Amino acid sequence: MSPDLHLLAASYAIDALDGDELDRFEAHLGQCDQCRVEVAELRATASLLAATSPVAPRPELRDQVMAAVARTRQDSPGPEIDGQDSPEQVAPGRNRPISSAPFQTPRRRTAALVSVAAAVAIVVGAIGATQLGGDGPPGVAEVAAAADARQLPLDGAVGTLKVVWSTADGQVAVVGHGLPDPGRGRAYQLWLLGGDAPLPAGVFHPDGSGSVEFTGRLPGNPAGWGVTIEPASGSDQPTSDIVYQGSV
Amino acid sequence: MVHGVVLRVVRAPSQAEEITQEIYVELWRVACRFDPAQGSARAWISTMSHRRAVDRVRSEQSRRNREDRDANRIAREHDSVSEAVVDSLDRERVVVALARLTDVQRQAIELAYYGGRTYREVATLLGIAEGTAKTRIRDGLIRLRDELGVAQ
Repeated sequence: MSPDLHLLAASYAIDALDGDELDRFEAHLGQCDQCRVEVAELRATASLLAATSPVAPRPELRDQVMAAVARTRQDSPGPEIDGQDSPEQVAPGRNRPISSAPFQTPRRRTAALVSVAAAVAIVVGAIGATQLGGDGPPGVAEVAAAADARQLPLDGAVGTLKVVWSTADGQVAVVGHGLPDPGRGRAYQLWLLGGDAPLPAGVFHPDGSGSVEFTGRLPGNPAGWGVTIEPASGSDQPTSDIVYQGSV
Repeated sequence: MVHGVVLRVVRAPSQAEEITQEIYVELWRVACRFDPAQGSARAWISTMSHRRAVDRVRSEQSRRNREDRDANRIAREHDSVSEAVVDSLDRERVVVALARLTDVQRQAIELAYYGGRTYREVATLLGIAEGTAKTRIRDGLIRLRDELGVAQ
């Protein structure tokens, strides 16, 4: 294929193409694995640029959204319903796939079906994240915004992991990137160090890209933090070596 | 994140709220199409949000006015990125990574991503060749990807 088209992947990933060029690149994308990977990676990169804009809307917006959602029927996951629609990830209002893999196999459809519950949770979570100080656990940014919030990057062999906590609010948060998959049926567990024995401070699991954001109750006054890999339900005491740690 | 991105791109708060609401409802409607195997929920949601905001901006007749004002705003937009980046941990990482770009790469990415412009428009605004704008966006994003460790 034309090398020129490959060079458009970055502009495509941040919606900086239009017109015929957009159409030509999308046609090319269907045939070029290399560009699909590049687009997916650069979109994930751009999503971090989006993180620099955490402006919360007015709280009233959440109520409006919830009311609108209650009136809105969800699409069915399969393409069989109207014959036209396809199950790929579609950008709203534009009928263009935003998926990095425009052509899904039947096996994928099953995967899409299986992910319905997860996706609904994500959307509700995204809506919930816009509220300021409502019920439900605070986000990492809220913990970090506490007047007495403290942060500690932990040392580990791979990736980055940082603990944020507020004694006043009694909350602890973990944010990390580049974490290895802990393995099937396993999860990371945070431990508060400093007392006679490590205190369990929460279990978290990185997403597919190795990123994690977790908040939980602060179980005490930390002199240090440690992270081990435990069964997914968590342990009462660490059962494996510490993989990330730091002293306050 | 949704509202923040939309507001950055469309700039008008009332319009940003309207689009934000549309996006949430749309996310709700098409949630079943989300496939975790193809990327994170965050990337999915931010891609949708950015695209919807960009579509709106591009369909606006007022864009000519926007562009007229842009020549004066380039320098200020540059600062606004650093200002917006205050209290989240992710933001710290992004700021550090952005700081490692060359000035011209950063400027091109900010105009394209936060400004919702095509690379051709970026070229016109900066008075550079289209190929140069395309290259700056690409080199800058790839650098960011590597700095932020999001390669697959």
